[in-house]
Amino acid sequence: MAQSRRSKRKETVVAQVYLRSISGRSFREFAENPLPSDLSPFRAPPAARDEVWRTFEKLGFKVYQDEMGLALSVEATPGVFAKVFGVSADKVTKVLAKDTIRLRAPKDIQHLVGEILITPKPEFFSGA
Amino acid sequence: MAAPTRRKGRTISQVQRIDRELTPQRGESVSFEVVCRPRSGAALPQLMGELSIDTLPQSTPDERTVQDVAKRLQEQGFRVFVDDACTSVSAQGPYDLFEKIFQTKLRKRARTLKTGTREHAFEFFDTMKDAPEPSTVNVPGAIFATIQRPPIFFQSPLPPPVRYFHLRVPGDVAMITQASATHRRTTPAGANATGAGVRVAMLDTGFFVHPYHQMHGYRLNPVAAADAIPPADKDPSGHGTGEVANIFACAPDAQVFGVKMGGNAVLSFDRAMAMNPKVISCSWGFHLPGVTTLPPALVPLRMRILSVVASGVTVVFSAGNGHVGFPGMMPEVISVGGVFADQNLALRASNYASSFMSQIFPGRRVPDFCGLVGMQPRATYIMLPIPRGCEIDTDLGGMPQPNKDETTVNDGWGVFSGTSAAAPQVAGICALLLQKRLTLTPSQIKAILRGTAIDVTVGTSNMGETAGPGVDNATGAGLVNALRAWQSA
Repeated sequence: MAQSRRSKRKETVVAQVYLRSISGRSFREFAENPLPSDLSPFRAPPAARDEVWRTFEKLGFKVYQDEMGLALSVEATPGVFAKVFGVSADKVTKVLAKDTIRLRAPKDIQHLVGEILITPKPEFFSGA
Repeated sequence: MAAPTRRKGRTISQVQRIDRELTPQRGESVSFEVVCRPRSGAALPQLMGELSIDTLPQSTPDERTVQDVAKRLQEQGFRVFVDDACTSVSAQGPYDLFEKIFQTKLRKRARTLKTGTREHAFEFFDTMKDAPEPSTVNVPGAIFATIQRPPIFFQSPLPPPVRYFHLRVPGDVAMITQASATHRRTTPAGANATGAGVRVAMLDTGFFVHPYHQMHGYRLNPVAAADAIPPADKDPSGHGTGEVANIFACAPDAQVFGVKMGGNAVLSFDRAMAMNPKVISCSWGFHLPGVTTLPPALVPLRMRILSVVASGVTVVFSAGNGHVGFPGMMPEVISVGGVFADQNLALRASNYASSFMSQIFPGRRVPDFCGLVGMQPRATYIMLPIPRGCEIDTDLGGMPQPNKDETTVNDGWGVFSGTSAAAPQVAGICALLLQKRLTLTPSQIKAILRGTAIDVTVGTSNMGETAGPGVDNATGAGLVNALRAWQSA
């Protein structure tokens, strides 16, 4: 395979925190299926989202929410990930796109979180 | 002209200057110039007042004086540089030795000059604020000594010469894709077909507004995704800055929003969509060899792209450089592979670019068609503007092609391509079609480009698939052709 550029943001790790939805349905339905016009059944109640958000901020993460609103994106150094999730820095920084690395939610918010997955980093296809 | 603003540091016209004191290392070297007594015997103030081409013979020192000054400096421990016709002596030595011989005190400073989005940083020595100017009393024959500062190298909007066949932007890329021929056509509204009025977003590593972009008058607007490290115009990699030139080569009047990515690509799509684009170009992806089900971590990205395409935005992805690239394999996006055009414009499948059948999306073959991409080993093919000293500049520079690009490591130019170059070329051509007919849907655009591409019949892709007459596995429908597409739109 030709060389490619990998994103140099090695200093941080990103994970998606999927919240338990109002309907109990999961985003995983969309691995193959078409996207419905209404995503609201797949979203979490705002209060639950806010609680998870605050919890991760207190733990030292930067927290973002995308427009779809199904998940929170949390970002921190490998050290913070190691402390909060008990995973080695190697495990969270050397993630291949095909790998699925699940993390266990902090105890206080386990009832609000469906799944936490490490987000792999894209490769840039220049060859340089 | 607007009055200059005063922020941190001192502002000179539009140039903002920021200085910072540094502690010199022991024995750190300073370069300086020693002016020798002229034949006329004039002292420095008189010499400065009289100096002109006419008075030059009397204003220069005799050879003996120069030699004496050079010898004296050498004896004192300095390294001296003298050539045949010199009028002063160039020398170098430890800063503390300079302080002792020239009876002054020096300080070391770091200076950053900022002009708009451009920034230049350097370090230098000069005399302390309250210290005396350097005295030449210990150097007979000298009348003046001054410390030299490093010159400021401005990044050139023109590429450096290299000795091997390569393409230049905008001309060569626009010509071979037939974008330049399209630019001479007129839209129903009477405008040239250059992409004016069409917004294109590109998601990448950052977007430095290179002098090349400025001099061409391109509309490049860097913006940062919510999770990106600002500022958006800082591009340590150089990838986004370079590859965006391919959009402008094909659509010089498009308005391009360069979205600097963070760690989560979904947030970059969010930022792009806030700019209300009609086309989104992505020169990246995730390598999923042998994978039959989309990994859960990538499902949100698929969902976001589906929602973007459903809203009428055409999404263009690089197929990969030997990668089994996702989202390039999504049926809803345009997947762009690579064709190499040689000096005679003979076309062949690039052996650098991907081609494959997706195992995740049954029946989906990649690529749909191709843009211009170089050949192995490193696809050094298109001369592109990048930030001086960025990763690509230093990685590719300084050594012979084909493994390096033969530009210098700090010149702000690099020769590279990959399907990273091909996708923005196609995105630019999409902008030309949308300028003509804004109501075109993503699937219509894909069909037009596929139906008008130039058939490529020879060569093999990175995966070893062979090009042949008609649609083939290596190049899809062939090389994108802007003019034929525009005429069909």
